[in-house]
Amino acid sequence: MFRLALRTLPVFAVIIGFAVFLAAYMNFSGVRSAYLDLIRSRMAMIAEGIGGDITAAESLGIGLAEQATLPRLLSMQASTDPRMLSIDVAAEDGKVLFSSDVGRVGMQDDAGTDAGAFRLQQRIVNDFDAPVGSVILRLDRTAMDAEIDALRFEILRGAVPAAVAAVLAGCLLCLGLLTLLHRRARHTAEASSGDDPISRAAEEMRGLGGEVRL
Amino acid sequence: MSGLRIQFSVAIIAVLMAALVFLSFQTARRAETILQPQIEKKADVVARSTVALVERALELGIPLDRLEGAAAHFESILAGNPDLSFIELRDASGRVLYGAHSKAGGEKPGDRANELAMPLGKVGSAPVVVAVGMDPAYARQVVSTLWLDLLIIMFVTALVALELIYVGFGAGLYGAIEGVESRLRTIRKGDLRLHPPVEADSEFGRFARALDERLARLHAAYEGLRKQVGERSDAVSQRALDMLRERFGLGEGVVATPVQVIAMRAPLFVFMLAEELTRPFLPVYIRSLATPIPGLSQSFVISLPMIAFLTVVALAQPFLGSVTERMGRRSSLMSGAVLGLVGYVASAFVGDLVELTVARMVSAVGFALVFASAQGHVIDSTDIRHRSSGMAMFIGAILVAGLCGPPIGGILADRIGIPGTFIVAGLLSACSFVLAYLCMPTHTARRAHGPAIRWRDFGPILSSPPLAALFFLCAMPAKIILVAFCFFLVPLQMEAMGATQSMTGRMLMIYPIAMVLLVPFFAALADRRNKRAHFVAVGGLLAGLSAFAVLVDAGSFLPIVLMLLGLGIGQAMSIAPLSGLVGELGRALSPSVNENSVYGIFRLVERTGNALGPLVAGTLLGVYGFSTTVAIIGGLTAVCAVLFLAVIGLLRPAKFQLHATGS
Repeated sequence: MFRLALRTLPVFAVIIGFAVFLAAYMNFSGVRSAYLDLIRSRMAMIAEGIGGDITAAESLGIGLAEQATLPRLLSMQASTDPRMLSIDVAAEDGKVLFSSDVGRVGMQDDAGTDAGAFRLQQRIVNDFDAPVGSVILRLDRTAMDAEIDALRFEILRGAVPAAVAAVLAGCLLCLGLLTLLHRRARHTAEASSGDDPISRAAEEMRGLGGEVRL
Repeated sequence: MSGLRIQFSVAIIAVLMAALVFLSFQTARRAETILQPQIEKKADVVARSTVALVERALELGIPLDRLEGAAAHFESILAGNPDLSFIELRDASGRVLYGAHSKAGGEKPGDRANELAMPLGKVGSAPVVVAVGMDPAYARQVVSTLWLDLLIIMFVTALVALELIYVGFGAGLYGAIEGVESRLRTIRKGDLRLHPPVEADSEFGRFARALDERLARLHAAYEGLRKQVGERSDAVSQRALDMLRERFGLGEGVVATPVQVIAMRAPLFVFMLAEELTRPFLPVYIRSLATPIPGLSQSFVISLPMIAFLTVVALAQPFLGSVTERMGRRSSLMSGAVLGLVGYVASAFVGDLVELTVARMVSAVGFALVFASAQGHVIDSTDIRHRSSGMAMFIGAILVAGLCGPPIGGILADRIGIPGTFIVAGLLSACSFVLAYLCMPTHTARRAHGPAIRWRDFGPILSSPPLAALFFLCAMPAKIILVAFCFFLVPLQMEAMGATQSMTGRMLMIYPIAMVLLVPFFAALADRRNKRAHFVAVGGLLAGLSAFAVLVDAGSFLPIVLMLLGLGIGQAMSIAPLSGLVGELGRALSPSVNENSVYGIFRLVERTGNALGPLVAGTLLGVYGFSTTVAIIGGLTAVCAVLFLAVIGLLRPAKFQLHATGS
């Protein structure tokens, strides 16, 4: 039975362990998505507010480049979140016209080379649906990644005891089932007499004059 | 091992459920710590933007009690932010001037700990406050929404475990455990027939041998007694011995599926799982790569790679039976798995429709090779007595893969993206290669069987009115409707309705669940009642008419659920009687017509129906839209079923008369 256990239990251990870690990963990825969605929706709200102001000024005939109050608004919005790297307003060609980070004014915005930032870019259109420019919010990705890594570590750390307990319980249950079958098999295989159907058939044959040795 | 396998799966599911509950509670606690600060920041943004909005209105001279649309504005904010529970504008006394509350319940106003209040400034003499409520149960909600996906994963894990248990145990031990279990089961029922021997290396193998020895001694004694009684010409004892034989099956042997048949099950299951992963998103993926082709509708263009895949499978399979026989079943299955790996991985990296079509065609050749090799292995490992149970094992692997693949594919596509899921499908093909290498025998005794289809048999088979009616009014429409609905129209419609890939995958489980649960029931019922043609027609009618559910409300999920359920029940009702009827009607043909040919042509017609499915759906979808397309295909299927019943009704009396005259 020990040899049998050694051969069969690793199969169950692998299956159960894999399923628990898959569940842990799903939990992690679900929470990570919710976390990123929360950040994204907050950034979208800020961008929408700024975009609304820009559109309102546009409809009064003030072009984007002439909206002189924007730097103050951008700085004010950016100051509410210490992780905000910058809030930019860029023209259609991607040139940053205004920014909460004065160093970025005049730069060409390029999402491809901005790996350190978690970005949200929202296009601004005027009353005639013509594109005016875009609002770009940039959050510090390093801090976010650190938070996500900590979450991953904690969820996986929590999954280890759950997986170990599940593997042990699953192996014990499966071993119990195999042992039960083993016992029943031994009982039937080794029974030379008794009330199982083989013995009953033998008994009936003896009654007919047959010689049966089981 | 079926009983023990069910017990194993129940044990595994129970343990996994317990682990899952524990894990989910832990995750919910941790989620709160990471999500709560973000919810607070968001509430702050909402409060500030609301304050700014109200202040602007007041600056424009609008009185506080005349802020038309304030409540509607708050409601629109709440609708897009499930983590917030209410937004209120309150006066100094705390009286709510305007407010909106989330329909889900959540936090009620008054709980200061979960409320962010921002003063508006002095309005007259009293301060006005904007209060935003945060839902403290949001983290728990996030985790609980994962439960459905997690439950599916647990369920699929248990099924996969059952499929792969053979690989873990090895053929010898698996056969021995199964052998012991089947011996104990039959002995307990008083069925004392002899069993085919099993490998006796393991402890279970030794028990099986011991049981066999006990049974063999009993059988030997029975034979001895029978001989004695025969010599004495004792009629009473003779009758008693006959009764013993009837009761206990003495002198007889059990017809059991040879254990080597199962060698193909794991590689076949894993390969089919790879293909099934792509079901929920394939049409959506094709659409993302498709560019307009002048003169063709977009939906027709989307159907092209699917038509190419199914056409290659339909055309290749009739020839691959003999190819895999020459190559060896194991080598050809491994070759198919390699082609699958190449095709799926290439599908992940393609840049346009033509490249995807070529990649899918490579996968199709792999699919056809794996299918034909596994089927050939069953034929090689069984004689005619075991063929049905061997084929049941083969079909079972495909059905279970069809059940597990779509939901898992959807979950993966949502999390790692469609190209990532194609890579996973490629890895599964690689696993299929390894499993075929490990499990399948290098050489199997080949059984002599004639060609699947003889060309000269096409004429008599297709000119037989009942067979032609069965093929073209039942078998072909059944495949067209299945492929059109499950592989093409439902994934596209679900995406149009804003469903995630996971939701599409779950939706696509309805059909295989109905099939797995109901096919054995209806097969037995149709055989018992001896009314196969009626079951085929009623099944077709039900499958077709269920399509009209979408006409009630094409914009919600329930009609699609009902449509797929009706399709599943209808096809579960007709699939086994349809196959049985092919043989029944085939036997009425001239004896020169080979039964293999009848079945070969039947399968060819079915596969042609498969290939026509996306073509028909794509063409109609471009012209009529989802609901009408579904109704047209369903309606035509129902009409075909009624026509079939009419044809059979007209032809059968003549046939019965012939039989009566003949007898």
